[in-house]
Amino acid sequence: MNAEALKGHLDLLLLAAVQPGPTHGYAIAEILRVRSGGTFDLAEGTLYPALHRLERAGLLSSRWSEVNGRRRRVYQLTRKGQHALAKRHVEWHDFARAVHAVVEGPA
Amino acid sequence: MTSVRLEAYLSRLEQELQKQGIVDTRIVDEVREHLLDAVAAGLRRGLSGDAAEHEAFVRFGPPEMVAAGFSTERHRMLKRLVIVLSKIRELLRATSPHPAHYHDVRLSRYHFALRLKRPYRNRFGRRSVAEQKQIIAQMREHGEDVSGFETDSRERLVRFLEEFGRRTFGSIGILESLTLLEDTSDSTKRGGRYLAAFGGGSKMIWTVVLSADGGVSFDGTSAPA
Repeated sequence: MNAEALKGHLDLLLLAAVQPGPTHGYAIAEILRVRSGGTFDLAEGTLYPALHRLERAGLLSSRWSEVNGRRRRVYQLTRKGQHALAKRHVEWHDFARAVHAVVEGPA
Repeated sequence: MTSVRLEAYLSRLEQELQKQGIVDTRIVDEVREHLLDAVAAGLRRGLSGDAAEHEAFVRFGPPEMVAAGFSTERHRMLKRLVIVLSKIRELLRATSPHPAHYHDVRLSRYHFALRLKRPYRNRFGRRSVAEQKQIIAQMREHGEDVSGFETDSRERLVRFLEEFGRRTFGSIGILESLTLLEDTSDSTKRGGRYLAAFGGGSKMIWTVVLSADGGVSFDGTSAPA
């Protein structure tokens, strides 16, 4: 998928990817790739600036966590992030429904 | 398990980040863990060590691109804050200077400390109160706008920060209010702690400290919800 097209939705995708619980960067990249059936196969290095930005905005929090003897930086939604995700989710549904209605034409 | 090539990649990334003015070991540590995961995944799929590393680097992207990503996301905001510090200094130094010495304060997430090369760049601020009044009177006689001199310096600072906030802190939202929590001015420095509330719901504590010899310190931390 065109990286520019994905860019506008990256925040929503990242927030959704960490919704189940604390998740590290590599796992987030895998979630995006697998759940999208390989469509969202973006340069993984672009995820971290976005994750750090979302953390600075208070939507994510992060901490180092020891997993199988390896140190991982895991991200999770803050309460503010949960609200933001819910809001953007609704906005996305409205947007997608509207686009679909226009593209597909009247029933 | 780390390889020479992996460490070389991380070293290049660190250099590229430094070129962008970013010194943050967390970024490099996170990238190291990511690449180790990616290499391990490649090995599990039957790739050779070299091929797994190559794939991991390609998928992650070149260090220059990764560093540029951090720069556009973060450093742009820092550059703007450095500019605003210079403006704050000019605004607050409009009044008579204190014979003070600047002492650095603790480092934190958004902390800046500047020392301007020329401590008395503002010639107006160096003049005595009587001389300043005389200059203002002359300007008024010539029909010039002197409202900027008649406003309290702290009020000018608040106005400036509000105006700056409207234009700058895009990712956090528009600055909606700025509340003075504590006036930290004393005989050695001028400053205050402000609660900055943004449209996106974020709140920050901005602490500004200025000394008469050109030292400017800005400290911004997330405010408790």
